[in-house]
Order: sequence, then structure tokens, then C-alpha cells
Amino acid sequence: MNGKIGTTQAVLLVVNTILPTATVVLPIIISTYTEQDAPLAIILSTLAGLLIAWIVGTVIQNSNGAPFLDWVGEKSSPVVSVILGLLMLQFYLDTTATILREFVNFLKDNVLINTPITVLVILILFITIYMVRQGIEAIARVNSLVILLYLFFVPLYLLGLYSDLNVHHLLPMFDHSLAEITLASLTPTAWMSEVAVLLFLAPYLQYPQRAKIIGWTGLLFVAILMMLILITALMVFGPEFIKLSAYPGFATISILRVGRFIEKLDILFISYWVLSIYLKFAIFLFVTVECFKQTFRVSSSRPFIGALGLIIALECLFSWQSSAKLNNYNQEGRFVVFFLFNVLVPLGAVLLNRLHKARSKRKGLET
Amino acid sequence: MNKPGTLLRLLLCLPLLSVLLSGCWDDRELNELGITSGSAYDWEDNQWKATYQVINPSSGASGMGGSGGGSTSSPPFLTFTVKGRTIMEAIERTNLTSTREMFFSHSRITVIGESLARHGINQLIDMFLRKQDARETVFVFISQGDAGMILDQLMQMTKNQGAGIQLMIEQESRLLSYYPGTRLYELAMALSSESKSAVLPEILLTGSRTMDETSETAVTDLPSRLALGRLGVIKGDTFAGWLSQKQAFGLSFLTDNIDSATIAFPSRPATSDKLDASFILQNSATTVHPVWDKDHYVMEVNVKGSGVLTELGSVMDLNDRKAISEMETSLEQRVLELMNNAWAEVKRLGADVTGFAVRVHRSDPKRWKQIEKEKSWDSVFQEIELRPQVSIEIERTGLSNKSFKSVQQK
Repeated sequence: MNGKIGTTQAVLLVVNTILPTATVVLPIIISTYTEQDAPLAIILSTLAGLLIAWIVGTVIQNSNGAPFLDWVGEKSSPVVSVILGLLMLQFYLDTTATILREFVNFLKDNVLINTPITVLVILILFITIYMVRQGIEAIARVNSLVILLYLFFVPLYLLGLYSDLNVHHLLPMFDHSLAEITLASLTPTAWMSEVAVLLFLAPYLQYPQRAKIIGWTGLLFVAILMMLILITALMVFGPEFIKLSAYPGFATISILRVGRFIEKLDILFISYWVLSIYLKFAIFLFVTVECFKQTFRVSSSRPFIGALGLIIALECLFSWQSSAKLNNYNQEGRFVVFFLFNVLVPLGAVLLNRLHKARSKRKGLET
Repeated sequence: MNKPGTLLRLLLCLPLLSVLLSGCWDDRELNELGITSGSAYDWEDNQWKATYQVINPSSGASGMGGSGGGSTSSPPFLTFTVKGRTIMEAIERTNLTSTREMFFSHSRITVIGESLARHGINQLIDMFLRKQDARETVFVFISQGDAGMILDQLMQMTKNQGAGIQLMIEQESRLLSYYPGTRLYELAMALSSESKSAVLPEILLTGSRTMDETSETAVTDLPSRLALGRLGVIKGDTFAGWLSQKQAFGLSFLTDNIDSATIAFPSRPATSDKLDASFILQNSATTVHPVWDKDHYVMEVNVKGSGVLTELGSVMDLNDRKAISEMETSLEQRVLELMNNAWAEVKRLGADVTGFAVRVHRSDPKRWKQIEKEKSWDSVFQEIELRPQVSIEIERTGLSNKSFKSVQQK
């Protein structure tokens, strides 16, 4: 079932890996620190993201698309590979659980107020497990179709908000210190670092040598869309009001209207967002399963998808009950964890490879 | 062999799809909902008094326009007035008197009573921004007396009063520009901005009685109608005072909120102050530039506009460029007068509804930081000197080259 995915499909997978949660949570996080200077934080985090994509791409190029943990085991020792695998499995279980929690929190806040969270979690999980069982190629194809829908939604969004956009809300520029902008860019950098999922998608890439291009193109696409959402939210609501809203991206949609006859398009956009977040969740569940597969060296991961899904559901239900705790983690804790696993781990792999090469060279010279 | 089995399984799965359409625990039947088209809030006996206007589904076609079946004697909407210590407590109490659950997603207007405006509107704004089915796009109004009374009044040209009032304010801001309609999110934006002040149009009844019976609207000239009045000023979250329509019009020039407007002016100001000419301002743009002058800010306000002459009551030949220039100067003086008048009242109220604080922050961020640190905007605002400049061009003079009076005098 797991066929190879093309470069464009991989780029679009990177986009939906980052964008759905970023569009909902990001504006509030960035604007809390930098208000109208928030676009600068996006630029800074995109630069950092491109650097991370370079590191991840280098690892994939060096391993030529081999399974990441197997390759680490080859270059170091199987023990190191298993320990790293266990840690990374824990990381991906946590991350996937928080994505699921953000998904159900949003549904609970906006659409399904009375439906119990447990029911939402179970339903989402069933659908996603089905998606993951179909394999990454099927996910990538659906993902490409979903992203194509931007061609309909972005013009509608801009047309509907046109009369409310006030460019003066972006002034004064450079009102915040570099320290504040750096602080604001930490969380978006953490989201951008999710490009590291490519490490586990590498075995399914048709052209693993193009991993850097995949990462860079995906991140630039994400940066453009994030900038679009952030700037429109700022231009509509101004830097002060944007802080009030828990979901500023969707608050702009609620005031969107075309003439006197099209308004209240929230549900249309929410439905589209739900499509995207399903794919994000599916990508992360797939990566979690892949990490499990490589760590425990099982030939077929299909029987374990349900079990891993259950762990994620339980963590989502019992570890992240408080949305204040989750917001706090997004704002302060996420960067550290993401930096460790999405930046330091691939960076360590690059250094390991260099060390390995240098050693082989030395051995070659000695003989 | 396998195909019929798969087909059968697929067919059996089809009914399962209906489960996805149920909306889980959040399903709502249309005939169980009371669709509100407007709401009003007052503060009475230290409690929230909320009035909700609910569309009456059993109302049919009457003399108020529209069509459809149902009873013609039944009013097009019903109102419920409830009280509570919090807004939500009041809303929930509607369930004690109504057979339908209130549904707010189709609300068009909200009226705030002066009593509540004096008490403070923070909690109301918070509820609108927090509650899932509340609409932040409703138009907000203020009324001097009991806000709930406004919602009882029937309108002649439309059955849905909430939608009717929305049309009134949209039409007013498009054609008169005395004040723009204020949506709830715009109110929240203005109050959370650097200026911390906002304006709300007044809605009032022109007569002493409320026309709340369908039979009462079957006359050509209603003794009491809904009308837009003055402009209420909110500072912080409490009521600060009123601006007259003339002052509100001047404020529209200061805040660049002119869409289209009619200005009455003296055509020959050198000989008479009589307002004997009208001009439709079709294009208008205002730029405000704050300049720090030793110890206070000077606001350089520049208004540029153009339009068409629509009425002339004096002897004048419009082919004479000098006559046109004289009228342009008169118009400019009139707009200057409107702006100065508005500025004097705004300054007296001490509420920065001009948005000057925002302008200062944008053009002079360093000094703004200092002002913010010292929390001295109120005193800085009082020291502001207004330096307005107006340039108005009469682009066209209509279908006559001379005034009718000049032909008569020949």
C-alpha cells in the first residue's frame, strides 16, 4: 500500500504538516509579543525554518532515503538507534496527541459544543487510522487535492474582507525590539521545524536527493500563507483586538461578506480547515507508526496502528484536559522540545555522518 | 464472484453515512429555535434587563410588505424581556417563558440603553465575543430611554425590524455620512485601541407611543416611528455624552468617514448667511498628520473633496468661474465650521473618538511610548491644537447654467 511519493506531493505534505495548527494558533501567539510587527517574526522564523530544512535535507541526502533509525544504527550502534527511537516515539506520540487535542478543542469551541470530547476523539481517530492504513501515497494524493482548494478559498477570503482591510493597522513598523521579535518567532520556528517529519517520510520519497528542495519549497509556501492570514487578521482587527480572540484567523472569517447576500461563511471555512487538520493528524500518526516500526524493527506496522492510536487518544483525553495548559505549552514549552528533536537530532545525525566519513577516510589512509 | 459481495457490503454501509449527518449531540431542529433578529440591554435595579426580538414564524403577509402564508393579525416578531444578575442568566430565563430556544446567529442589531452605557458595557462585549452563536457583526445602537421599547416598535416598510434598522443605518452612512454604522467588533476594536473611545448612533422613537400592534401600522403616517438621532460617545466602557447630528457630521470629516454627503451652504457668503444652496459631496478624503510643536501636538487635518451642485437659491451665473470659486470657498468654510464645532465638543467630553491617539502612535512611536508610560494621553489630548485645511471642488453644476432666480429677475 505504501508506494513512493513524488516531489510535489512531498512539498504539499510538508505544507499541511505545518499549516493547519499554525493558522489557528499562530496569530495570537505572535501578536501577543509583537503586535503589528508580527510579520517580522514570521520572516525570522522562516529563515530559521529554511536552515532546519537544510539540516533535515542533508541527513536524507546522506542516507539516500534509507529509514532514519536504521541509518543511525548503521553509523553508530543499534543501541543508540533503539534509545533514540524510543525517545522520538515518545516525542511523536506527544505531538500527535496535542494536534488531536487542538483539533477537538477547536471543534468543541466553535461547532460541536455539546458533543462529548471522547466521542469526537474516537470518531477522528477511526477515520485517521483508516487513512493511515491506506498508506502515505493515498494520504499524499488526498492532501494534494485539499491544497488545490486554496485556489477557491484564498480569493473568496480576500474578496470578502476587501472592504475591511486597513493597511494603517500595520503601523508603526519596527515598534518592537529585536528581543521581542525573536521571542515571538520562537513558536513559529517550532512549527516550521515540523519539516523534520521528512526524516521518516524519506523511505517513501521517489527522489530523496531532492529533500532540501522539498523542505524549502514547502516552508516558503507555508510562510506565504501564514503571512497572508496574519497580515489580513492584523489589517482587519488591528494589533490590540487580535489579542482578544482565541482563533483570530477564524474571527476574520466571521466578518467576511460579499455584497449583502453572502455572509456567515464560518462553516464553509471551518469545514475546509477540518479537511486540512485531518491530513495533518494523519501525517503525524503515519510518522509515529513509522518511528515505531523502525525502532522495534517490525516488518508490518498495520496491527500496531490501532494500539498507537489508542495511546494518542488516551494522552489527548487525560494529559491535555486544560486548554490553558496546552496554550502555555504552545507558547513556552513547545520550542524546547521541538528544538531538541527536530533540530538537534538531525544536526547530530549530520555530525555523526561527517565523523563516520572522517574515520573511514583515516582507516583508508592507514591501510 | 467478489463483486456482488462488495456491492452488498457498500449498500449496507450507506445507511451508516446518515450517522455522520446527525451533528452528534449538537443537533437542533428549526422548529425548536427562536430566531432572534435583535436584542436590547438595559441596567435596571442592579440587574441586566435583556429584551429579545424573535421572528414569529406564524406571522403571514400583512400591510408591512413581504409575502407568505399564516395569520395576518399575528405580529411579525415577538419580544421577550428577562432580567438576570448576568447576561447569560437573563438569556437562560427566556426558557421560562418561550417555547423555543433562543438562537442568536441571525441577529442584526443590538440596542444598549443609556442606563447600561453609564454602568459599563465591557461585560456585554465580552459575551458577544465569547459566546459561540453570538454575532460580532451586529450593528450596535444606543437609546436614551429604555432600549427594550425600541424592539417593540413595528415598522411599515419591512416585517423584520432588526433587518430594517440595519438597512436604515447602512443607507444613512452611504448617503448622509453623519456617522458610520458601528458593528460590535468595530466597537470592541475602538475601545481596545490606543484611543479607548468609541461612538454609537442613537436610535429613538419619534413619538411618545410605541406602535406594537399590527392594526396600528395600517395608517399612512405613523404617529411614532423609529429614527436615527444623535451620536453617543463611549469612553473606556462607559457613556461620556452626546454629539449632535451636526457635530457627528463634523466628526465624520475628521475621521475620514464620509461616503457621500449633502452640504447646505450660503451661495453668496459676502452678502448673506442664508443657507440657500446644496452640494452633494461625492468624493472626500481626510488625512491627519500629527506634529509635535514644542509642548503640544498640532493635528494638521487636510480634507479634499469634490462633487456636484444640486440646488441654488441666489442670482448667479454658473459659467462665471469666479462665482464657482466663491461657492467653493463658502463650502470650505462650512466644512471647517463643522469640524471645529465637532472638535470643541469632543474636547469638552474628553473622549478621543477622533482616533488621534492611534495617529500619534503610528507617526511618533517614541513619544507615544512615553505618553503610554506616564498614562498622560488625556492631558496631551486636551492640549491638542487642530489645524484643519479644506479644499472642495465643484466639479459639475447639474443641468442648469444659471439659477432660476436670475432668470426671474430679468
